Amino acid sequence: LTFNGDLSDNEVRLITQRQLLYFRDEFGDRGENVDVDPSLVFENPRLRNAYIALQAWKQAILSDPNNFTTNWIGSDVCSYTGVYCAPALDNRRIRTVAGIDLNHADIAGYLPQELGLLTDLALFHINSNRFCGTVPHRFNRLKLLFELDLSNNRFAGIFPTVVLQLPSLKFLDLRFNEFEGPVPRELFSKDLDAIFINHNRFRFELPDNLGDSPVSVIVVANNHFHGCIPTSLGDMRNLEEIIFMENGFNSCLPSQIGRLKNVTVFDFSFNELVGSLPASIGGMVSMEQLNVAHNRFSGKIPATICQLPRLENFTFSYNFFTGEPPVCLGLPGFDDRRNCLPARPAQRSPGQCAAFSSLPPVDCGSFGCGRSTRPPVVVPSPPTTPSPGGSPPSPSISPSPPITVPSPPTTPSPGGSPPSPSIVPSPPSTTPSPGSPPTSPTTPTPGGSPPSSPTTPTPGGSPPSSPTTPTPGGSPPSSPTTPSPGGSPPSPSISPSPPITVPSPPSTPTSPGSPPSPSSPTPSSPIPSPPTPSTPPTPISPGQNSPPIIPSPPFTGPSPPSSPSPPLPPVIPSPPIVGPTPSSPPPSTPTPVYSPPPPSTGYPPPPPFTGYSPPSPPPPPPPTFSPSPSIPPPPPQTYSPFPPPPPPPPQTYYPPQPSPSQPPQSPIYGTPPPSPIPYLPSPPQFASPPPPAPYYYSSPQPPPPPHYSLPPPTPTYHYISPPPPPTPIHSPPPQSHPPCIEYSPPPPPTVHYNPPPPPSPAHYSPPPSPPVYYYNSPPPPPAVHYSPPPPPVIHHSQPPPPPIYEGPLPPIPGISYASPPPPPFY
Amino acid sequence: ATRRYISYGALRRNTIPCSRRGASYYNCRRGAQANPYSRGCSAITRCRRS
Repeated sequence: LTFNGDLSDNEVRLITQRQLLYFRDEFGDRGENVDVDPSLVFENPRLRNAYIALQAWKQAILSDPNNFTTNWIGSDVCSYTGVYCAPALDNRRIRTVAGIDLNHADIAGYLPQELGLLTDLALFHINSNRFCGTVPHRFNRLKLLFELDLSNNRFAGIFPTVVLQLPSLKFLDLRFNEFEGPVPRELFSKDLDAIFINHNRFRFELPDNLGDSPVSVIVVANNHFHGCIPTSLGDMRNLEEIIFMENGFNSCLPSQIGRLKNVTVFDFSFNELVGSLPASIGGMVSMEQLNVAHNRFSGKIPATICQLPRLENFTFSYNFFTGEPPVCLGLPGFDDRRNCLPARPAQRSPGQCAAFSSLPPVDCGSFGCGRSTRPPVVVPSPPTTPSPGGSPPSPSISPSPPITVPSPPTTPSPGGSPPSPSIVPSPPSTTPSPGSPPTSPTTPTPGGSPPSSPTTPTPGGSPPSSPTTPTPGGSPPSSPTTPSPGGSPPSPSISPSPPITVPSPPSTPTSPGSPPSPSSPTPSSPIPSPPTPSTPPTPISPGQNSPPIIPSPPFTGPSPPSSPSPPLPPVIPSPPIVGPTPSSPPPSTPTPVYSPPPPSTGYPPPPPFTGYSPPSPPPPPPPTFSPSPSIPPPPPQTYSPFPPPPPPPPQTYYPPQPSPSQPPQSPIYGTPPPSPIPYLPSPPQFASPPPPAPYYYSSPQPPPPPHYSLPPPTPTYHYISPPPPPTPIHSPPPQSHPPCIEYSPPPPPTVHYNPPPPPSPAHYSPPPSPPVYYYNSPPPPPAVHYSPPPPPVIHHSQPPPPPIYEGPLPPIPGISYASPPPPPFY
Repeated sequence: ATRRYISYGALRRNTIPCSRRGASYYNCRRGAQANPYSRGCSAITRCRRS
C-alpha cells in the first residue's frame, strides 16, 4: 500500500479479492464461503457437513506440494486423502468422519472455523505442515476429539484455550509452533494423558496445581518458563516422563519428587536451578534417565541416586557439585564434567569453584514454591541471619514473585512453608520416603520448604555428609544450623548475578544471568568424541520458508527453536546433553571463542552419556520430501470446489460476513523474533546412543495407509530411532515466519493461489537482529558464526542458500537429507 | 533396552507417536483395527508401537 493512503487499482482489486475469499465469524476466526452443489448426494447429513468443512479447509490452503487434498472433490468425503471415516459412535448405521490425518503433508494454509462441523472427530493430526494463524473457537464443537496434534506448524498467538473446552481430549501436542504468553492453569487440572508444549514461546511460571495433572508425560522444554518448580510436582500420580529442559526455572528441586515412583525420564537440564539434589530422588525407583546438567546445583550427589536400580544414565555436568559418591562412577552412563569434583577430570577451574562457593548459601525455602493458597501470611521472620545480601527479608509473601532471582526472597519465611501443604508435614517424623533408604525421611527443613538444600553451603566447604547416606532430606549436614526458623536467611541465595563468573576463561562462566549452560566453551571439546556425527546438519530452516513450494522445511530436524527471545540466553543447544554443547553464545558476545576448556574433555564419555538421547539414530532426517514427487499433476484447482462449477445456487454455509478490513489474520507477530539464535544444527549429539532410544515414536509402520494414492511424500518418520535429542532445538525459527497469511508471493511457484498481496508487508522486516548463526558441526566445532552485524543477509525470498548452513531463513529447498533412512512407511 | 521414550522423541519436530495413517496414537499396534475410535492403551508412555 502506498503511504499516502491511495490505493492503486491493482491494490483495490487484490483487496477485494481477498475479502471475497473468506469471512470472520463472531469470534474473529476466519471461515470460507463454501457453496454446496445441489446436485451432490450425501450419505447422511454429517457427511454433508463434513464436505463443507473440508471444502472450506481446502480453500484455506495455499500450498499443498504433495497433493494431499487434490482428491478432495465430490461428495464421497470418506475417500479423501487424510480423511478417515467410521461408524458413528451414536449410530453405528451411518458413517461419519472420525479422523483427520495429514501428518507430514507440508501443507500451508490456516484452519477455517468450518472445521467445527466435524463434530464426530476423534483424531486431528497435522504434524509437520505449515498451518498458521490460530485454532478456531468452533473447535469447541469437537466433543469427541481425543487427540489433537498441531505440532510443527506455524500457529501463533496465545495458548489456544479452546482446547480446554474439549471434554474428551487426552493427547495435546502443540510443540514446535509459535505460541506465546502464559499457559492457563486449567491445563493442569484437565484430564489429559499427554502434554507436549515444548518449543514454543510460552513464558510464565508453573502454577501450583501442576500436581493435579494426571498426565503420563509432559514436555515443556524450550520455552521461557521461569520461577519455581512447584512442590506439587510430587503429586503427579501418573507421571512417567517429564522434560523441563531449556527454560529458566530458577528454584530448587522440591524433595517431594521422591514420590514419583513411576518416572523413568526426568530431565531438567539447562535451567537455573540451585541448591543440592534432594536425596529423596533415591526414592524414584523407576528412574532410567536423569539429567540435571547445566544448572547451578551444588553440594554432594546423594549416593542413593546412583544406586537407583534402573538408572541407565545420570547426567549432571555443568553444575557446581562438590561431592560424587564412587557408586556413581559405575553407572552405565553418566556425565560429571564441569563441576567442582575433586579428583575428577574435566572439572571447572578452581577459580570458578571458589567464586561460586563464596556465594551465600541457597535457601530453598525462600522461593516459595509450595501450593499457595494463602495470601500473605505474615510471617516474616527472617530473623536470623542477617543475611547479607539478602537484604530485607521482606515478608511479604506474595505469591508470585519468586521468580527470578531470589534475591530478596520474597517469601518470607519459611519458605513457603505454609503453603505446601501437602506433603511434608512436619518435620521429621514422617518419613515419607519411599522406600529408599536413607532418603529423605525427614523432611528437611523446618520450614517445610523443601528440603533441599537449604544450606548448601558452599560447596566445597562443608563436608557434609559425605558419608553415604545423605539422609536427611537432602540437606544434610547442617541441618541444625540452618533451619532457622524462618527460613532463614533469606536469602539471596543464589544468584545474584554477579557472582560467579569468574573470570576464568574458559569455562563457562556462568554468567549470571544466563544459565551457564550454554556454555560456550564447550563446544568443542567433548564433542568430538561422540560418534555420531551424523546428524545431518540439515540446514534447515524450517521455519519459515515462505515459498510454499518447497517442501521443505518442516521437517528438518534441526529446527529452530523457537524463540528468540532475548532473554534467554541462548542456550540452546542443548540438546545434547553433553555438555559441551556448543552453544550458544550467550548473550551477546559473539565471539565464540571457545577455548576449550581446560581440561577439556577428554572424557570420553562412556557411552551413553547423556542422555539425550540417543543419538543414535540417525537423525531422522526428515523426510525428505521430495518435492513434488508425486503425484499427478495437480489439477488446477481453483478455488472452486468442484470442478464444474455448478451453477449458481449455492448455499452458503455461513453467511459470510465479509469483514472488510481485516486483512489477514492477525497473528502476526510483530517482530519476528529476532532470532538471534544460534543455530546449532545438530549439535551435539553426543552421545551415543545411549540408552534409550528415544524415540519412541514410531515405529515402523505398518500398514500402509489406506487409501492413498500418493504417497505422501515423506515419510518422515524417523522415529524410529530415536535419537532424541534434538538438538537443534532451539533456535527459533529463523526468522520470522511469515505471519499467516501473508505469504507474499515470492516466487510463486506453483502455487496457485492468488497472491494475495500480503497485506502487511511491513512485517517482514528483516528481523531485527541478524542472527547469529552458529553452526557447529558436531565435530570440530567450527563455529561459524556469523556475526550479526546488520546486514543480514537474509531476505526472505530466496532460497537458495547454501545448503549447508543455512541460514535462517531460507527455506531450504528440498534438502534431501542425507540419509533417508527411515523407511518410510507407507 | 531399547526402550523408546516418547518424551525425548517429542524434542524432534517431525516425529509422531504412530505412523499408521488414520490410526489413533493409542492404537498403533501392527494389525490393529484402523478405526479412529479404537484405542488399545490408555497411557501414551506405555503404548507400544509395534
